[in-house]
Amino acid sequence: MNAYALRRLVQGVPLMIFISVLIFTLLQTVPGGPLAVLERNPDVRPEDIARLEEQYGLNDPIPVQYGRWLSGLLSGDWGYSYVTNRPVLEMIGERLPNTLVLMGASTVLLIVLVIPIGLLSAVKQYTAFDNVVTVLTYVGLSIPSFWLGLLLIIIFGLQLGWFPLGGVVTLGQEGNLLDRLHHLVLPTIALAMQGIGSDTRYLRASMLDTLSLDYVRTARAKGLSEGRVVRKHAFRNASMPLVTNFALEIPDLFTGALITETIFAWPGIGRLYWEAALRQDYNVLMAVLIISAALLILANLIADLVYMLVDPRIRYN
Amino acid sequence: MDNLARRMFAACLFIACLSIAALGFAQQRGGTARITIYQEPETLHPLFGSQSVNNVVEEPIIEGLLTVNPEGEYVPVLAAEVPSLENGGLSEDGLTVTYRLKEGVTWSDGEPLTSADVKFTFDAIMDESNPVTSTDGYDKMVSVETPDEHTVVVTYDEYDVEWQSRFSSVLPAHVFEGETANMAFHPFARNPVGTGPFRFVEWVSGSRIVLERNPNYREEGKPYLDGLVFQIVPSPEVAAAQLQAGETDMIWNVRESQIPELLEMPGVVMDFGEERTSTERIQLNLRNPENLSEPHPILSDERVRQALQYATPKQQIIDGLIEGGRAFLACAHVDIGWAADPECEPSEYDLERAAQLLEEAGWEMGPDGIRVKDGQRLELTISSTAEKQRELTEQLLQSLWRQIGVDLRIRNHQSSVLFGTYDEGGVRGTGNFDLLMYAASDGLDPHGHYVERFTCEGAAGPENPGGYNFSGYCNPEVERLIEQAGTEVDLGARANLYVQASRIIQDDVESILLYNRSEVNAYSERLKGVEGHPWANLAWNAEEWYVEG
Repeated sequence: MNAYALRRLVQGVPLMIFISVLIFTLLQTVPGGPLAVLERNPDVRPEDIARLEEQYGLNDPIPVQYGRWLSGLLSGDWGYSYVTNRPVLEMIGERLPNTLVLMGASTVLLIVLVIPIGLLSAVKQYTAFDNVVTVLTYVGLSIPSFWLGLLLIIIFGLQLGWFPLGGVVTLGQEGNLLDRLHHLVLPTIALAMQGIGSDTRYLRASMLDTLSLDYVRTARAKGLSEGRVVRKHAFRNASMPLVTNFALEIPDLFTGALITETIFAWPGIGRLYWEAALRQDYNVLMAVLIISAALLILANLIADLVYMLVDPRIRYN
Repeated sequence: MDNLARRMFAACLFIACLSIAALGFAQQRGGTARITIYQEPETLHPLFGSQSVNNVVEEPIIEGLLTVNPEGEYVPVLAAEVPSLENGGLSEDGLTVTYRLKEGVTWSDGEPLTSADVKFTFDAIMDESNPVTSTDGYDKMVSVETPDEHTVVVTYDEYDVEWQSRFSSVLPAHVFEGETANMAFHPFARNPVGTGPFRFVEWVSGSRIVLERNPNYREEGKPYLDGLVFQIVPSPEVAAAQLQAGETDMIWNVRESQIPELLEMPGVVMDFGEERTSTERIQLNLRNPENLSEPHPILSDERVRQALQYATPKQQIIDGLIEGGRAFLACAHVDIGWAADPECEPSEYDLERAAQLLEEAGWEMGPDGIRVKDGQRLELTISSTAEKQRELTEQLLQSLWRQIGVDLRIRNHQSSVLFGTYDEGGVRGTGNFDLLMYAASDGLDPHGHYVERFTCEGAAGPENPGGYNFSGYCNPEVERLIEQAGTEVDLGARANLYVQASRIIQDDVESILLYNRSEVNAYSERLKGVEGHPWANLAWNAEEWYVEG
């Protein structure tokens, strides 16, 4: 397995380079550039723009700019933001904990809810419980996250006053863990809702398929308790699609929590990425995209390795 | 004293003390005002960055030599008085300006403000390694001398018409240790030091910027507030909910769509006033979009332009389409401030007159209801960004103008495509439009505005890709007036020239001006002392703010 994992990691490198070249080139073709906003400002004269272009090296040919960026990346210098003039890594580092916390909480909520509900829903197919779950999951996966976020804020924040209206922590309470958890509840629900809805349905469907297979009947015939049959035998095999889903959903939360971050004023990587895209802050964009790509490749690798754990029939040579 | 007398004396003393205490400050000292902004500043360094939110947050921290009051007059801040011909601060030819600094002013860290700081600011602006947004005006300065600690003498090689707006921010030389190079990377951008009523405490990225009272502020007893907190909340709906729940005290630059909701909210004050920050206009292309060196086949005829203006129901657009009543009729490109035309009148709405003018111009009604002249249909395209308000306006004009025989097509674009420069192939930059609807704003001094937009050389095109005259307007009389205004030292004489130019531009109908829209701020009733200002940001008088209740 180690050899396989290593091989996959090594294969990831040319893939990353290819992705970075693609993204870098695409960014150049978009009209505008880091100085676009200044160009529309009447007080800024063409001489000023020309001077800035030289200073930022924007007049060099694209391969040269790419080469400069790549060599910087490899030596740990991820460049400076054109907008804030701060090191890109510093900007990402500030927001990373917030994103990780939200990603983590969301994933935990997902696992804690999806697995038992999905299992039970499949085992108790067509009962009242299953019907209620079916309705709720369809509602959950259909609700747009921005609408849900606003709804949560208005009902639970404004009208009931149970939760704060956005933000990570109350001013002056930065060390208070309870306060932070208090702020975490609503955004986590808003972010995880669609995943909960869809993953529960996946698990339910997968379980229903598995439960009808021969070996499950055999296990029951052997006299094993229903619980053991479901948990130890059926679920392990039914969980494969779930692993796939999780593997792809988790890196998606890295930049994909943008809408939740916007509604809840949560300073995460999603918003950083969005703001950089709007202002064509190339260095920040490239950095976030590279990290996202790396995360995705890593997540896929982990998913493949987990498959091996879950299903002994799968071996890679 | 016996018991009774003693008690009476104590009671009188107590009452006297209470009365004295009650007579004390009408404004309560203390409290923090929270201001919600929807964007995070790029930087707090006054020389860099292009977003307006940067200035909103910098305003209570960093000050300059002069500033503008709400009436449009220049007033001294760090300077003791506004240099003028009378007090000898301004030389006869306008090329030498002598500033006397106020005595006893210190930076928020206690260091004294001296003329060296002003010179340092000039050096920083002119240092080539700094991506300063604009060096306009400073590049006309030959020298900035500091004969003593409280005097600065600026010498120009040619007259800078906007000289009063220079040095609107003064940098503390000691924070930079006298080094002007590569200032954009200096931590000052995230930790500014100024002479303003508030000083910087911390910046939590993506969340908030915290300011506290500047203990070294030059005005005794002010600011009343303990601190200001700028909270970054990107969602306007959540910001409104926060205002309602009391989790914030003020929302900067409220969206138009929220105004009705906020007007209904109890305990909330809306700040509209007469502030006008930008004018929504329909610019008419005087040149042929397909060949900029030729006149526009339809719009180059003044009568057609006048007809279109007569066919635009400006007041109805404001009343019917703009929510919340925060738009005001615009009558000229510069209609507030000292250079405005006091007799300016917005155009009238008269469909019949419009039709008549088109007839006179030789456009005859065709069989399909659209006018024709020399085999060409009166077909025009209007372009703007895809915002609801603009789309509604375009649709209104489309149906109205059809009645007078104009076929108006609507083609909207995404903002960066619409406003793209010539090099980017943008609609506006390349002159590829018939009618262009957008908003633009002016600073207090109109000179730059007039030069950029109404002179022949300002015309944007292949020879001048950075030009701001997108319609290709070129009137030698206006050109002459503007040029002359640029050489006048006397404000009154300049104003007169601008007014004359403005009247000609209006008669020529270079643009159909629709309305002025203001930046609207909403704040809680408990926040007092807030005043509007047409040319400054919302915290311009934060030293006067206090909270009640």
